[in-house]
Amino acid sequence: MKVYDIINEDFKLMSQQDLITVEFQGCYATDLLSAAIKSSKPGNILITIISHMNTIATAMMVDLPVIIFTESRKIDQVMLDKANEVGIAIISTPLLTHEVIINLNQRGLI
Amino acid sequence: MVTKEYQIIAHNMDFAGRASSDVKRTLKALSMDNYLIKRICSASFEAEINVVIHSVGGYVQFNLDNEKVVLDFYDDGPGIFDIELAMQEGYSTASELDHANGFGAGMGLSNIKRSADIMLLESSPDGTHMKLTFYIKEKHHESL
Repeated sequence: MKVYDIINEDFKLMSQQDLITVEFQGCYATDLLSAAIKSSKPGNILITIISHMNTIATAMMVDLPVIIFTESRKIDQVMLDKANEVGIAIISTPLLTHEVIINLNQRGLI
Repeated sequence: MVTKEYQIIAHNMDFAGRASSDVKRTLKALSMDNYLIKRICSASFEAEINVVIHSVGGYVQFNLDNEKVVLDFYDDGPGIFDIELAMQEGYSTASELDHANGFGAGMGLSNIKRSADIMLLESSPDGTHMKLTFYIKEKHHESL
């Protein structure tokens, strides 16, 4: 699956446009970044409400190519710059974490 | 033999992860096994975050030879009061701000222990030294 499969009116790509072809497989949802370090699998989407540079750094460390920030959390430009630099696709959604998982599952993406 | 050293700035979450990112770049450039890189970077990032959150500042030394990667994290205190308690998953002395930034859930040390082949931790009020060893040729851990 690729990022362009996710994008619609509820899922907006915030990072640079060429990251729309980034590939992913499955997802991991948490607001504890240590939990993501412990239990996510390389290639997963990270679904979280924690909008911070630490989130980008965590995704870099454990090879998570896509981050979906839920509940329309503010995403700082410095985070987007870093994500663009390292090729991590950043998506913003107004949905809640469990709604994202249900949505992606119903669309056959995870 | 490759040796690098990185400063870690206390309480500056915006720069947290810089050392571990560079360690990852170095290991990737050497075409090291991806699973080993994940173990090293997971432990390195958690340890780096610990120095940022809990200490007054410190540094990490990265050493690589043909057999192993060794990371030595040093800080200048205030030390871990009870290491046995701190090693228990879920125990944390982190602040609300740390929680808001996604860390401080009390999982860091157990994540590090699980990821490293050898973890040595010494602490006093004057500072903490964590030595992490990862063997390059050893088979994959099953637990991560």
